[in-house]
Amino acid sequence: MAALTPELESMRASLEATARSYGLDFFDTVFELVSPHEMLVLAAREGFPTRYEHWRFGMEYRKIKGMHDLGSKIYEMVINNDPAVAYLINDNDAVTQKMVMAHVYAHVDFFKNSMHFQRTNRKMLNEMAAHRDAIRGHVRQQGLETVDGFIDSCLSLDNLIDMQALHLPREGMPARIRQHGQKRDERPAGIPELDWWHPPEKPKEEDPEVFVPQRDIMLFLVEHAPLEDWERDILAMMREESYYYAPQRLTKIMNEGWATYWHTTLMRGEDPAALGRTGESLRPPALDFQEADLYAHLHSRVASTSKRTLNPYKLGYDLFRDIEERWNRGMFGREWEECSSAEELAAWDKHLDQGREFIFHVRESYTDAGFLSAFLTRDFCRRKQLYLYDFNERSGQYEITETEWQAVKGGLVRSLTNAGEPIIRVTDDNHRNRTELYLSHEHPGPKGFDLRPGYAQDTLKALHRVWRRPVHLETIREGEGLLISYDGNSVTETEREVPLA
Amino acid sequence: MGDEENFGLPDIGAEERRFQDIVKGKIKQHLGKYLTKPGVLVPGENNKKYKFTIPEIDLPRFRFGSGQGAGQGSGGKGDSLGPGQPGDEPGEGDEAGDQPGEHGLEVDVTLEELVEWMSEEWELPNIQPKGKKNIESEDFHLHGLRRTGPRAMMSRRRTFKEAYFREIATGRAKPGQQMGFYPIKRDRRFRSWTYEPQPVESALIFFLRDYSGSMDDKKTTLLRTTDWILDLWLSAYYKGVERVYILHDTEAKVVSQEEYYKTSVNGGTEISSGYAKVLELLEKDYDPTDWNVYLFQGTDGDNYNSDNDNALSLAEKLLPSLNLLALNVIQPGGHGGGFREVFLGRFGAEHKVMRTALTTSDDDIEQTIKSFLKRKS
Repeated sequence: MAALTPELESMRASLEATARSYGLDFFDTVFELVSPHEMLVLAAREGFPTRYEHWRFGMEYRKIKGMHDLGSKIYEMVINNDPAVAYLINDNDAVTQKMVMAHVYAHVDFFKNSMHFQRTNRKMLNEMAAHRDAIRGHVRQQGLETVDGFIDSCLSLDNLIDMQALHLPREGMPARIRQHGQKRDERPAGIPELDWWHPPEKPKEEDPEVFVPQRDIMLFLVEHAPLEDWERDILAMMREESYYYAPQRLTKIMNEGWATYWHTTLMRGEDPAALGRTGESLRPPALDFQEADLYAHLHSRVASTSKRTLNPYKLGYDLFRDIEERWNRGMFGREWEECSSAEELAAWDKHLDQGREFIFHVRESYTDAGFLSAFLTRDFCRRKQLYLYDFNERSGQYEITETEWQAVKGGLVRSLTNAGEPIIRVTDDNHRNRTELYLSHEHPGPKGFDLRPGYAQDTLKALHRVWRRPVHLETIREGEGLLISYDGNSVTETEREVPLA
Repeated sequence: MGDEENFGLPDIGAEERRFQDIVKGKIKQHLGKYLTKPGVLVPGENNKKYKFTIPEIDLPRFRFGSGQGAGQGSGGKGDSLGPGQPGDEPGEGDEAGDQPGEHGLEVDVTLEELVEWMSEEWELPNIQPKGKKNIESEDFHLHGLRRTGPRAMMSRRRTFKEAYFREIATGRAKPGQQMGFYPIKRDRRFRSWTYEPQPVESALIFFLRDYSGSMDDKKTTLLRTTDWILDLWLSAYYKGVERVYILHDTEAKVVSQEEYYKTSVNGGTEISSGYAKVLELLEKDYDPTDWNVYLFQGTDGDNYNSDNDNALSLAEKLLPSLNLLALNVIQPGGHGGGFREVFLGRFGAEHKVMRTALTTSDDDIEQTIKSFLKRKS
């Protein structure tokens, strides 16, 4: 790891100035120059050089190294921290470095401004280092096997947090948050209803007889499970890390789309087609004529599509571009929606020129689910050829199941809601009056929401490791109510009456 | 790199090794399953390293199990996007992450490790001290004390005891009094160890393989793989065993190891010819009083009916000289010739030195070997 070379530093300085002139607002960003190998190690540790030691990072490393050897390359990695930290690979050419820097600045802008990140720990580098030291201490006292095994159990539970409560102050989290109420008044016309606001799930009053279901099961366990001090400490740290990563998981498409939008804009210069629309003067591209060719090649790799996964870079980028254009031409609102003349629609232009301004607001407020829910149009879905697929057990093949836009949109939004995790609550800590733990999976019915059976059973075992008394999960499988239980010896599955909705 | 320094980049090697150990643990746990996967072992080829591909280890979580997803590109409803494997099957509770996924992780395992894992569970049954030609076998024993040795082997209890004796002998301490002194150098006692030779045993292994016309490729491959695993394990774990390879159709012949694993199909089947050959060898070259004799026999059980009586009487003649007759009947799909039934009908399933197994697919190989080599409880 090293500091930037003088050439890279001057590149960085000019890019930073350009980025700020567009209105991007980011933390100071420290760029570290690393070797390709170091990049792989950092990627395996999810960006943090000071991560605790655990075998899964060794596995990640093997996996990433395997892909690297097959030609896949990690270009960019940036840590949500103040100052932000980003890595550049020291054998990349100048064009790549420029693109990565531009990309990184946009990410940091996103971290700093998206409301979902406001309660993330901005000193996470220090926090992670503290976690590592604490875990090393526990390993010295308890032994590697014991601690590793317990961490495995915690990781199996680390999605049992309340993703909708990212905006609530949490203990151990910095209480820094901006006043969103004021911001909302400044919204330009036509913003669809915000998706993010949900009433927090919180005990209403202190009645000790009534157990209030809660989604932050990690917290519940930290507070109530019969753990030893070192175990409680590790569980709490794993919860911290899970909350730290949650906003990134909720905004993957937006965050990458935003970064791609800006590296494109900075590299190519202002889009001449949009010139005059935003009232800004044309800024020169950050690349010279010869570099443009190399850049095009690079960008095409970033924005490639694939049949079985949606590329978040491309989808997010396309959608931000689409929103910009719609708000430039005023393609929203009642008048637009009620217009039925194809000709009029095609030539629609109200010269609002609010596109650029508007996408800044979008990046501040939405999660991926809301982003697609609010802005994915029929036209966009058709142009970008989006579809849903499913596995056909009879043919043993993945097959396209939906191309109809509303179904596709519904499927996408559903898969992104709660970061694609099931919604599970702890509903009783004294089930059958025997201090057994009872979880309920909020299952909307369709088969797609069924839990993976083997995984569910093993997760219950991990939960038992923490709770130390029998644990139960109520869910639905193939339309039938089901109660999966683990009592420390064996897993049992019993049918359960589903109350009619 | 600086370990305590915030921006230092610690090595990831330790975690990688730890992960490898976990993977190896998984392979060890399901050794038979991984060992018999196509491509891992090539019968007759001795490798120093074996490549195992195991699915990525996925920590279990409450997760949706559907194979649903979204993609982008041209295509209409019902178009195929390629084959795959969706979520796991119900009931495989303890095997999260064990399904073949898209990402395989390759791990190298050395022959030594492989054999070590095998031998923890298996042994040649009924082995007895016999003969002059020995199987080398040593065991490590901790016993006794001596005055010199490595620090780690110091016996603290004995060292303090010595110091106590010395203090009493010199009058500086009285029995029953609390210790107020420390051991000096000459008080130190160290545990010592020796390698003890194990009782001498000698073993003679016959591999007897049916290569008649009915032994098609599938059967032959199953049989060869089974024999090769046995062979590998024997050669690494029991040093200096004598191995004899015999192929038979209507006639039997002794072949080299290489030929045994390479030769494929020939004519009709007379199992008696194989037994006759073994008998002949035992009479001529190997005295059963000097050897523990093991016969691993593989066939699809498709014997000429006219030969059954002859084969059984020869087997009967053979049995007193054998420590084990392991009859491995290969019947993919579970049906084939009836020799096993005839055999069992004559000798019964509980015969002292006779074990039979039915191998119908790759998945059975482990069970077959286990039933031949399982330790007596």
